[in-house]
Amino acid sequence: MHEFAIVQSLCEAALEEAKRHSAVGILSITCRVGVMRQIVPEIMQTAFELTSEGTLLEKAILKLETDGVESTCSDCGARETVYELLFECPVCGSTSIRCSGGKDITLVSMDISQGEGDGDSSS
Amino acid sequence: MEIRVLRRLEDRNQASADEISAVLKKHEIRLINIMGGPGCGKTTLLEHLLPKLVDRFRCAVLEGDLYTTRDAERIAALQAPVVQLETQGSCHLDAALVLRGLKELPLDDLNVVFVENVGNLVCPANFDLGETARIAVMSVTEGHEKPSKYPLVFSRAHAVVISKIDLLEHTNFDVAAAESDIRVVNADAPIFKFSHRDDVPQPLIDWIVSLST
Repeated sequence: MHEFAIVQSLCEAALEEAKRHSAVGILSITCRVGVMRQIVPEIMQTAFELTSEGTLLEKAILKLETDGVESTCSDCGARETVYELLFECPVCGSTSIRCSGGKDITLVSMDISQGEGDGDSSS
Repeated sequence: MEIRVLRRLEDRNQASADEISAVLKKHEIRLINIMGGPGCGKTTLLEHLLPKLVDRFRCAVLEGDLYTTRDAERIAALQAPVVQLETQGSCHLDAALVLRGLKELPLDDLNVVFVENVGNLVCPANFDLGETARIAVMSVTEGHEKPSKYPLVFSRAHAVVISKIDLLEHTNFDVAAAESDIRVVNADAPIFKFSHRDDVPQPLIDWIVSLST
């Protein structure tokens, strides 16, 4: 259930950014999570619903993206970004690979409205 | 209006983790975070490690548990200072709780503090405790596929212990496969094999001694 702690950090960061941009509404936020973090998207959504309650994020949609791991194969030399936890080279199938990355959690973007003149019709 | 943020999230836990690092530096203490699934042998490893370190270091233990104090009692029986960190159902330790526990220990008198994390292979690995080193423990009875199922904990480990190695012949655990999967996510961490029937391997003790504060 590490998802709740991740979502708390996410909401804090998103509300800070919203304030900085003088947002009066937040339509959606996009978060990219490294595949190594092993989050369950459904739990992320539940955590987001509970955590965002009573804040500017309450009606926002949480969009999740996956950050891949870099897999380097010692046998065929292939360097690939993989978006699932594979323990073999996606090119030749060798298990002599090294993986790195895929651990970051990033608030990528937000769709906000900035009051009159911008309104909810923003895109 | 779409705004690009691209802000990497600092764990909200990070402020406490940084404070722990500062406390460790000030008191020249090594903090070693032991992580692994339930029943993999974390407490047993500590029971064997503490007597071996007593000549060199003054050690204490922060014992993470969901509810009971049973593990803390096992450590207290070794005459080592122990503080129970009861998470009340939470599946991991966070830095704020560890910091609180740390402050209850006689820090001026200690060289090494072990943290026994809650038995869980997923969540604890997500929380930086400001520690000096992390040890991942897996037992042969759990199966050799653990590193490929739970790569984060193994990728972040500074050392890996394969425990219950005396039971190897009774299982289909493939040591080479386990080591190969650990190497996929972690090129450097030394891998130690341990059985409670034998002494803790000397290279593991040497490795702990070699950790700098």
